[in-house]
Amino acid sequence: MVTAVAVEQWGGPVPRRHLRAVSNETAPPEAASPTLEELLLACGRGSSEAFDALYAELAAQVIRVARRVVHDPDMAEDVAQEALVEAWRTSPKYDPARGSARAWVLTIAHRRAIDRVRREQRQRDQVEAEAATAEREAAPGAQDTVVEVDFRRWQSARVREALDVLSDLQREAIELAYYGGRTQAEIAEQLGVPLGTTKTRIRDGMTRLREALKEVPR
Amino acid sequence: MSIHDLVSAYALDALDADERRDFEAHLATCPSCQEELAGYDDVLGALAEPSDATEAAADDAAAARLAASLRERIAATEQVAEGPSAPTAETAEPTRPEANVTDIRARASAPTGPAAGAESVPSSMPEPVRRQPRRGSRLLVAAASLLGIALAVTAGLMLADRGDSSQLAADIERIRTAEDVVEQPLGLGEAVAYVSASEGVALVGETPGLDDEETYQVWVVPADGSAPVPGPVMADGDSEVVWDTDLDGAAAIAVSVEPEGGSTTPTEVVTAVEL
Repeated sequence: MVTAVAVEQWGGPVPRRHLRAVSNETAPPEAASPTLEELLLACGRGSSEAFDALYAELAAQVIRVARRVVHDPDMAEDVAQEALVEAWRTSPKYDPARGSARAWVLTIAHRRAIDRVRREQRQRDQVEAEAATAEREAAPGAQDTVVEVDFRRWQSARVREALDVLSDLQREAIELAYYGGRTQAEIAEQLGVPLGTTKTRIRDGMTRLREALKEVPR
Repeated sequence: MSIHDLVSAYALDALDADERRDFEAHLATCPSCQEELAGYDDVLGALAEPSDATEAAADDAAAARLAASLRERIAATEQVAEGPSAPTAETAEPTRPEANVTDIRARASAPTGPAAGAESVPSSMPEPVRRQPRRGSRLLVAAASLLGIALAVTAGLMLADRGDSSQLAADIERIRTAEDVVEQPLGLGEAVAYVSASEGVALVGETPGLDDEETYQVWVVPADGSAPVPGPVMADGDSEVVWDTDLDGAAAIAVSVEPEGGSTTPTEVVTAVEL
């Protein structure tokens, strides 16, 4: 039950820690359980009860998204915590017109995970990184080569089935973006294909994936 | 391709920072893109589905395990303002006379290592400028490792429970009046650090403004050169933070600028007070 409402205004020199829930006695009869969007908006008004409810819905997914990018389970938990704190911190800026609450939170987790991977990468042996780049550059023209990374072990049966509808190239572009945390431009560079081609693969692949998921029972 | 064609790449988080900013500006005024974006909600949810029951159970367990510490961090995290730039109602106290970091450091009774005479990082840094906080270097971490004191920092730190503002005020008072407290300028705006080996650390006062997406974070830098221990995040402007942490084996308290929500390794150390 989440009917907590902010009873104080933001401001003052001391960061406000907790909000008091207003009395329920005068509240209207409890409606259907709140949507994730309602919960996130209530977080934005400072309701820690709403955060608890949102956490219960999304925390496991946030952890999974983080692990699919960073791979290391401990690091993923760490990233997930950072992402959830960030979601709380920035929830006053959440606008439902700009996307669902789930997508909003999971995207924060995805970005956090990518940031972490990149930071770790920077810290890794520079020589090793340069060697790998040189090797890649030494084999140009590897157009339309499907990178052999098995992302399927992270996919639910439903997602695997839906992804099977895509062409290999579409699936590869989506997997590199999602699990590899790469931008369209980075994927184009990595695969040695034009940026426009990569954009088209992602756009068409995402459209097909969306439609395929509608066909696959949960 | 028009900007409308970027919806799915945006949903997939495959845009670079510039593209994302441009697309978000467009999204704010384009109902058809907003509608299409909502259509990808199920895709993102599906990609976050567990691969099997074992993974589901493990992640549910992890979520349950982390819930309490998350709740604690949430309670200690100041949210961003809703509007673009909410005016600050309370302004800072009148300018405090700038104390000398070195003087105060001399009062500290912490153990000194072979390199304790090394240049004081905080006092060698330029004065902070409002809206343009000092972007320090990793000098501090390097300096700490130079100290080479083989003392272990106990990792099991505890964030102070600051259930409400009176509790926070009481914690600050407790640290400020501790027998072994050392007061020193934080080297960050007007903020002052109160450091007590027995009671913990309190940072109080006006700090330089940060970008929306940024926050300050407090760290304990171990003298043995091991990784800095992450502490609570701290808002810019007039802020107060209390950290009940173990300072045994610590060389310094550092403050860094981090992406919102804080980090587990420091991104940009902007000031430090040696112990």
